[in-house]
Amino acid sequence: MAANAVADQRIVENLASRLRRRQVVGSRASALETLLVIRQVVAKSRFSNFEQLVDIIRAVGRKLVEAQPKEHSVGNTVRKILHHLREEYNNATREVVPPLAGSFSIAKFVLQGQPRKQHTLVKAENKLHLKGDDPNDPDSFAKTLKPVLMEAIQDAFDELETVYDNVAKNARDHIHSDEIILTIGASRTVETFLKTASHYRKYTVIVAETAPSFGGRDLAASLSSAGISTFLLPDSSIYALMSRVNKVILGAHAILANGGMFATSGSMLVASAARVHSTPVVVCAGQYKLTPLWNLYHEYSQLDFGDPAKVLGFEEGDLVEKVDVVNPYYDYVPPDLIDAYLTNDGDHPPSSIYRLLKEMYDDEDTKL
Amino acid sequence: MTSTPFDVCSAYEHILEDENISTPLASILALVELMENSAAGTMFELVKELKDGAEALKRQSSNSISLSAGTELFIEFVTLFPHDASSFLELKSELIRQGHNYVTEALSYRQKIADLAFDFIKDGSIILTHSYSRVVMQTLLWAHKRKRISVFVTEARPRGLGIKTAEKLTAAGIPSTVILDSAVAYTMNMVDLVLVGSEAVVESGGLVNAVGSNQIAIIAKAMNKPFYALAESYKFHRLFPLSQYDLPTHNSQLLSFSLPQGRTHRNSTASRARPGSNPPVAGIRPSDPAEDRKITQEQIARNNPDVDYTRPDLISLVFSDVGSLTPEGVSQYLVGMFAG
Amino acid sequence: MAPKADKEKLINDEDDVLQAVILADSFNKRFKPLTTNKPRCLLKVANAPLLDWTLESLALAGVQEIFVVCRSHSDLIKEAIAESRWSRPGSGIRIVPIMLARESFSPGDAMRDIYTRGLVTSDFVLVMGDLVSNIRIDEVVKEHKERRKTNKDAIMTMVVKESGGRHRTKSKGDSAVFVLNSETSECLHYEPVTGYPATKNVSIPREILAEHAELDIRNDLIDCSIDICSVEVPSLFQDNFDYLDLRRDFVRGVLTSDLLMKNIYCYIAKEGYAARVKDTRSYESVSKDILSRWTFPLVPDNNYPGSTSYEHIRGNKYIAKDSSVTLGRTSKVGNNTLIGPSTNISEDVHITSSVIGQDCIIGAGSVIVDSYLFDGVVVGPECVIEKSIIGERVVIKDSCHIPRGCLVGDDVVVGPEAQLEPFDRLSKRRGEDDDDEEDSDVEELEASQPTSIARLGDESNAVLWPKTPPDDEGEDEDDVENFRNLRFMRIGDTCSDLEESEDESDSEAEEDSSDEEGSVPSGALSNVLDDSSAMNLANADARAEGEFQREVHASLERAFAEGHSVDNAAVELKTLRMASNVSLSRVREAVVASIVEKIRIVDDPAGQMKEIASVIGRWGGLIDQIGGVDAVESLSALQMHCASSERMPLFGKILGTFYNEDIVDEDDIQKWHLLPASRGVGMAAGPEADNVKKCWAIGKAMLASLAAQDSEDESGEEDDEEED
Repeated sequence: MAANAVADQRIVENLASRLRRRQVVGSRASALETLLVIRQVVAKSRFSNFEQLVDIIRAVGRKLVEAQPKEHSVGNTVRKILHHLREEYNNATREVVPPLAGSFSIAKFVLQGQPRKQHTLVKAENKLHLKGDDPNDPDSFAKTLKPVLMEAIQDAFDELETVYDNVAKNARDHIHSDEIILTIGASRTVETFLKTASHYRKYTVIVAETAPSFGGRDLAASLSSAGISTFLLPDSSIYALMSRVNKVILGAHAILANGGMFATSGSMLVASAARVHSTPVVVCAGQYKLTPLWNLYHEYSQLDFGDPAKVLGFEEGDLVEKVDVVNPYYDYVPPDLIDAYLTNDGDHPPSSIYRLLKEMYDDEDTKL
Repeated sequence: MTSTPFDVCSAYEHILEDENISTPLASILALVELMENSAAGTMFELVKELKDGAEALKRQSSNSISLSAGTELFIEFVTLFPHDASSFLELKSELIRQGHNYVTEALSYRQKIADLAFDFIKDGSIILTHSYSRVVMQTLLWAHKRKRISVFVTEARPRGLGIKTAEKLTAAGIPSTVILDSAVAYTMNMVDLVLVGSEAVVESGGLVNAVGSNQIAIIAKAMNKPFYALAESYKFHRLFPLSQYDLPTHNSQLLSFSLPQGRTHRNSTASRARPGSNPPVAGIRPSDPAEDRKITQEQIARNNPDVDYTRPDLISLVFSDVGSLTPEGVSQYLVGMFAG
Repeated sequence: MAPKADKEKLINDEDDVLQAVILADSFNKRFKPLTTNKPRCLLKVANAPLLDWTLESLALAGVQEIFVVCRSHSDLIKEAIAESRWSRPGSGIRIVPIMLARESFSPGDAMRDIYTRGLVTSDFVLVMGDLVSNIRIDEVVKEHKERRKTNKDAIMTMVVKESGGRHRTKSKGDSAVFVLNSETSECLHYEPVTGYPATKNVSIPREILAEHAELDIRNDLIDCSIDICSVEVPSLFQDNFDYLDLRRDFVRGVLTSDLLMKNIYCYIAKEGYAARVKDTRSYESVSKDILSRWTFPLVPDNNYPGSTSYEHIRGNKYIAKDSSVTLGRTSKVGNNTLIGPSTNISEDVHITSSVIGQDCIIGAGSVIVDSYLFDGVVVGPECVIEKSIIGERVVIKDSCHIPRGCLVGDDVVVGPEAQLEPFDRLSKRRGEDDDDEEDSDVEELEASQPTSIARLGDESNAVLWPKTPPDDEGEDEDDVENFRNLRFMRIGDTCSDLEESEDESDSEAEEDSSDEEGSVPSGALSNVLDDSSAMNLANADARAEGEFQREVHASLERAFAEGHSVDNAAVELKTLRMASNVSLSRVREAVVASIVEKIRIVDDPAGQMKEIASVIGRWGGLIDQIGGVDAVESLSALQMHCASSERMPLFGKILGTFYNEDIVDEDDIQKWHLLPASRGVGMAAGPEADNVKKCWAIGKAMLASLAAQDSEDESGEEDDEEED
């Protein structure tokens, strides 16, 4: 198929291998790279109707997701672009294709009930004359549609570029003076959030050092150099200090459809300790981390397991043979331990993540 | 056309004889048949006839909840169907066609649900299920094809349908054990997930199912086990119960406290309670006080509900043919369908 | 302009494609009979062909062009490469299979071939076709290139991995001691270590110790056989046609050579993983490392080089994701196990720490522990398989027992009720219709065996491979491939018996040759490598010895006759020494002997004195020039030579001249004097021993007189003995 051929392109293959080899890591970096690739693919590819274009993008998305299923932001980005494209396409073609009456059935009637974002006003100036599958000029469709598509991709791109600042824009409403905040891991989103808040408030941050990656140490260094009073804490003392903490701020790796999330291992420990002390748990994350997948509660394989060498050196010959070492990257934190998600698209309780997802992505893209 | 008066209830009973057809679908089919036999000349008349038929069905049924989920869906559909057919007759036949189409399509929903739930069932899982449900059966059998599952089934008094489930599962080679309804809490620690079917899923996102589901959900929540409900989308029911007693099946007879009763009455009760059992032994007076105080299973059953309502916050997910939904998602669906 | 040119050159440097050469042939038979029908690099490790692991390891490092050098079964390798995902248009890597002539028998031959074909154009990565690694080789390349900018002689960087003293991934049978410059990681000396004969001593040239204040002597490094080579490397192989092995010959050759003046560096990988599947034991350990994720991100559920994807389940269990695996309800899959697609595992099966291939069927009640089953294996009910490797499509019928260390070749049928012995190796009996030019080994085997062997079961089609070392081949124990040493590389072999017997042979060896360099510096007569094999090889050794002595003698004769300068004579000797591969002490002995023989015997004592002075004065410097100053050793050589020569009476005078010419000083004499060997300890009684004792006495006298000179004002503490 043509779409698969597109997916085999060098540029796609290249990103797929880098994702697979973990040379591109981190949600945002992966999302950005994915966008760049899709932009190039769309710019280069030939298609004569909308379905072909969707097929092409899905094929590329499928390839990238298969390469690294644990990096959810890749699939999310593809879904988001598809959603944007459909929206633009529908806006552009609203008048040309009237909905067919014959397609109405009880099953469709039921499906009508699914939550969707209400379509915003149709931009009047955007009415393009689109005609697919023109035998005389097969490229005419692509030519007319491409600028609109590029714009849609650019929007997604801009959103990613500014995501940290947008998450942090209301930081001062969430952190009050003289509060003690606890965090774990080294999330850029959380870092920006805390630093932004420090322009307005004086407060203290406790950072758990987050073994075995010790990302917490870097975060602590960065925060204290920004003039925030910072404490570095061994992971084992999280519970002991929790009673003095006013608020827990966490980063996320992926936010799941039920409102739970995957986050740096140790997050579950923090969240549980916070629950015991009724300390509010707030998660800062960009919207691209919203993932239309269910946490399979007990599903161990959903988590990602890294190199045991971080925990136990390979040179410990005798131990290597006799001990199985695990180094999970992520914890699953269930929704009932989380009080709110602060995203670049407003603040949400875990229970409305489901609705957000329905608005952000189209159901047919859940499985790429 | 036909001169013999059409009886929607007998049509319904007839349709239900098919093992695969569940009550909501049967009720839809019954209404479709009603429509086929209807002499109504206008849309208004037709809808009125359908509503009357639905009412009749509801009246004759002891458990009307899932039945009305079906009838309401169909009537709503008929009402909202775009009127662009050239004649009423044409419109009617189109509606009849739609009805049949839907039922045919709906038969595949259980498989869809089984597919969705499949991913949530891990190899080696121990599953607790309640009573008997066709969709749960299909899901378990489907999962059994690839995964090694074991199943606990509650006995599900008073109807004891759990035994049927266990028998079928065992026949299919799935290890299963029937547990007492009272042993759920004892068992729950060993369980990986709870799967139950449903009579209906209501607008709050809650669940109406064979009595006992609610307590299982409460225990599952207490022990942090996922509680999944399986429901075909035709079981989405526009109902908003706030408590158990808001269910349409609740009546004053249920859970009524019995007062100490008169001797004469007692005699009749006693004899009715033991039909076919060993006849009263000579020498024991029928008015033996010990014998009088005996409470029979039938008595208990008569005073107890068939279904109960499970609050949405106890439900982890609802698997339906339109996707895996959170309880909130279900209520959004219902609002979208009936308010649109 | 110069700066601009420089800049351009820099850009070019970066634009250069990184080339890699994979030596995809093992040049040994450690995996037989598994490798009868296919090359080692196509054996599956964790269900993916070894070559794919290697290619992925290289791709991970950004290599863009790969030459796969293959010899045996090259057509299969070619095919595998053509079908792999690397050949797809988007892969960004160019893979070129290179066929070697069938007569190439060593990595050295392969390198010469690479040179003749002119394949490589710049610094390249040289790896073996059995590598599994996640080390960022590109960074090593960067380091190598950086070093090359300042030091053109740094021709190679070897990547080694720290592993601790004992490690499952480090081979006991074939490892090495590295002597490194602590600061620069320059490899100063390389000494191979074998398990049998057990390497107990390592000789480190004195100069290395003298020249470097700080050294790392390490035996805890896994040699990953990842070498960053400069283009000169293949040409060096071309120049030295006797280089066979990359390490034993090439690295040692370059390091010990006084002529080449090239340097080799090591890169000690702190992070990352790299190891070779070079024998069945490392096959097991690498498989285990992969399953317990030490190779991350190169693990079955992530960046897996094979075609199937696997799901990772608690306890490092990996099961093919397409849910095609059927697991019996009562079967137990233990930790660190991989189960390939479409495999069927029946009831009551227990599998732990094993790899099961694709389309396998495991019968009810079987137990599989630490074993590796390739694709399509059928195991009947109630079988037990431990620590073994089972080839493709093998059928193991009911109730067989396959104990540790067995290797079962492709398509073999065993059982029912076969009871193999540990370390049995089986391969399929060939039908007569099978075509020509196949392994002659197998044919011989078949000829020598009856058609059915009881312990293989009635329906077996297998032949047993011999277990004992082949007698006819004249075991060369020096070779790493000797039978006993290979046992250290066998899967499941604890080698405890070998270690015991070693101790015995060791005590013998000590009596036999108490003259190992380093441990007993008494003018060491034998080189470490020869020591414990001295018994068998004494004759051959002696012959080689004599030849070398003669050649040195001839060369010196020429030098004396033609009046060469001392420097030139020294160079000639060095070349000679390299050619015959003998230790420095041998050369020293020969030189001392020649010089002593050069002295004409004159009757007149004064004339004799003059004669001695002139010869020593002219040629004495040579003794120190041949490589490293070791006066004590020179003295011992002198003593030993004089003891067996007619110039015995001259010993005292020569000693004196040595002293006068500063070839030796008082301390050296003192040290020599204290050596037990100088007193003739351990020598068989006879005229020689007497002479040795005499020499010693002369030395003692000389020491006394020297002491007297030194402490003239002190009253003579020592008894005055007669002076010579």
